[in-house]
Amino acid sequence: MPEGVCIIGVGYEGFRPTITDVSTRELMFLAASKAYADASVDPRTDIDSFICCTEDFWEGWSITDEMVPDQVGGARRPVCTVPADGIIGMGHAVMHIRSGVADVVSVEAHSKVADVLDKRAVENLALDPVYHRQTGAGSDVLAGLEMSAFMRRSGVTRDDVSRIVKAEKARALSNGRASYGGTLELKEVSDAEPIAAPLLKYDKAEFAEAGTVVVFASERWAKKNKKDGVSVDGLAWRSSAPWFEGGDIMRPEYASEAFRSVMKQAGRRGADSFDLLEIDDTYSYKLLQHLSSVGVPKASAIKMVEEGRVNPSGGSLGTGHLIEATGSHRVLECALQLRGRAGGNQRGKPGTALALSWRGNPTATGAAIALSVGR
Amino acid sequence: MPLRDRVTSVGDLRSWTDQIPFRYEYTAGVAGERFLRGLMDGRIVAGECGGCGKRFLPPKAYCTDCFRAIDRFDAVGQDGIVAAMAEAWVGFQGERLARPKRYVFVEFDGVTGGLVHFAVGPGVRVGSRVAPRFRPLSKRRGSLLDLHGFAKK
Ligand SMILES: [Zn+2]
Repeated sequence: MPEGVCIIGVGYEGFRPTITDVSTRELMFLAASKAYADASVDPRTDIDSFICCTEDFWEGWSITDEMVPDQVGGARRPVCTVPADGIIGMGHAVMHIRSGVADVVSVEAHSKVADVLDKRAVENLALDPVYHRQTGAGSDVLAGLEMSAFMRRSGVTRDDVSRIVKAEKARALSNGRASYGGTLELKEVSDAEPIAAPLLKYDKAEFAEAGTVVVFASERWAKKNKKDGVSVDGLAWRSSAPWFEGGDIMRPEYASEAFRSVMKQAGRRGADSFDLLEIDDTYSYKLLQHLSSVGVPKASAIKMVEEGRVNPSGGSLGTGHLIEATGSHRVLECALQLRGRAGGNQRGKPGTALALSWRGNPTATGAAIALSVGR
Repeated sequence: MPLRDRVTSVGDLRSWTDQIPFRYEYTAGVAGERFLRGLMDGRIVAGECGGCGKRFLPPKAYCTDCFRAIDRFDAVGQDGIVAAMAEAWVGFQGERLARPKRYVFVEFDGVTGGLVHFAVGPGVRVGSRVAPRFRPLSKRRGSLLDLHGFAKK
């Protein structure tokens, strides 16, 4: 049996379309201060390793990992940057703990994306320069293309995706961390202006800003220091081929394989064994595609979203897209729900939760994590 | 209270605008060279793995499945099938377009992957059989844009 790992504290700051009063580094400091207060740990003495999930282009600062240590309490300590989604950074925290490198690890991820004046330029530079970029088919065009193929193959209709948007926007109204809640009619969603038809305005999550910090500890350490934790029952990430390079359009492998690995680690059978799920919905149809990847068929998927068992937070469509902190946000929502502290969108007393992230176009990279309390 | 001194008046907010002015010359590489030279000759070139026989488009110099070097590059058949289509109303720089750009994802028989490019002319839909339309020979430069796009057969 590998060493058990649990979450002993979470902290966040922001969750607004723009945060104008604090800098990126101050945002990280505020989120970290709250997480360490929540976990009752002193980062200068209790935390053994610090991880930050970020990309230089989103920071607008070269070799930005060198600027990380001070604001998370990690000066003169082991600090590293994982240039990937937050859940992948958490995977490194689990490895640090299980390998004996650390007992307590802090994982920071943030979005200060409103500072990026040329967001599209950053996204466009992710496209292959020789085979792709010159046609000007950016992330949203790729999404529109994939959406057309997915709808054709799956039988998902415009009405189905509009129901997803409507449900998530409505749920976000009761989430204090959500910037894009609203009451929308199906017709309004289906008739919205096109981005890359069939992809329309409300099918895409808008950007938001936030800082998030999650503190992990070995269960042995948590027990010794009398801290209640949320157990990490499984965590995995995968990179597969995107659909336009031959990947499966119905069940993208990054999601299905990360999920399969997490199920094996957690000793669970299927998506149905979780009380709640926070699943990537960077684009509306991606939520149905990702649910299909974890074995939830269309009819049940729409029902689970409308009932609030999937994305009780309102998802990225309701909360806003937080770039590399998007997966961290899903874990944050799961952890708050499991501790009964999710606020207006708390769903009873859930015991188990699953979060699944995707790194966005043009990537085929995703991560999954299974969490529980009271085992 | 982690930060004691907070900005509480909008008039006190300050920021600094700057940019990262980088330029690049991307090497096309072994497979990219075959592909781009193929376009100049009016052919769409895929790579074929000598181990598993899988053919890749765009071509790669190594197999995704076997991790073997790929050294066989051949043209795909002239006909492709439109597997996906999107009508872009927002341009590459985020600008709203007065007339949409029509993009297709075209797959070829027996080939893994495909090409994202423009739809050319009327009647192109998902499921359509299409053929590549190349620029006149004298105007080809060895770039993805030597191809105008794909038109209905
Ligand atoms: Zn092979």
